Amino acid sequence: MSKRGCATGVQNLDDYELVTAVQAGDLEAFGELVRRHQDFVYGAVLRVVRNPTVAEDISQDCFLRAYRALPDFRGDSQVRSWLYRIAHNLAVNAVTRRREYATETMPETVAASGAGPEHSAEVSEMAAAMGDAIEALPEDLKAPLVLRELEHKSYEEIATELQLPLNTVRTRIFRARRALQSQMREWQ
Amino acid sequence: MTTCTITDVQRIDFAEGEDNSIDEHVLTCDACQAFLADLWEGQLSTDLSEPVMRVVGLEEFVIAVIKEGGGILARIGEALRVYGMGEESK
Repeated sequence: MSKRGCATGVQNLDDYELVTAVQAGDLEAFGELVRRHQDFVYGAVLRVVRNPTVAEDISQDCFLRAYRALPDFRGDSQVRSWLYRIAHNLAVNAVTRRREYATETMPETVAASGAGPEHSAEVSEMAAAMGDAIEALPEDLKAPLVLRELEHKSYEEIATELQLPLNTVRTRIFRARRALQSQMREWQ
Repeated sequence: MTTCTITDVQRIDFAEGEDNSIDEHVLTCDACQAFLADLWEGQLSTDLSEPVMRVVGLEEFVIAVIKEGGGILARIGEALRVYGMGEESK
């Protein structure tokens, strides 16, 4: 369950009850739906667009579109599944548009991304920031990430070394990468 | 209901963008979505409900004003009285 702000009363309702409440005009119930599924929607979008800021914008858009479409939601699928489909479509469309834009503007983009002294200084600063971000990770995420990214060990080797199940190692590395992406947002 | 045969490793590869072969499957699979929901829990550092509900509230307000028809000017006047107009420029 979300660790963020919560609304009393609607928290005990399941997704279908929340949808029914929203359809009856209860806006608070929609806020609870957003809080309940925002991590999932954001994760689904981020997987496709690979940019935290863009992913947040698209996730907000996803919930707004869901709100506008709620009067027509009949409950044929789970709310989460319905949201996933909206989020996925929005993310794929965004990537398609970005590719089209990148193709159109590529010559200018390449020319503007020079590798002069300023660029080198920026890379150094970014590396330092990355080091700080890795250092700030919780130990259970940091160890598998360092073994994977800096020591280039396989997932199996890391699992053996840390005496953890393979899936746990993969999950922790996944979470560590996401945490770093979040920390390094300003560099993107 | 059919049983999902996708492994957790496949799901994590999917989440990391390394394997898109189960893209269509995930769209309709509750088991895969439940796994991903657990994996992605806590990723978002901000609460999206605040900006989303601001827009939703504004939309509802506009809809209510439009539905009232003749009361539009009265509502705008009331909003100006309550929230002020250009106070920050004084």
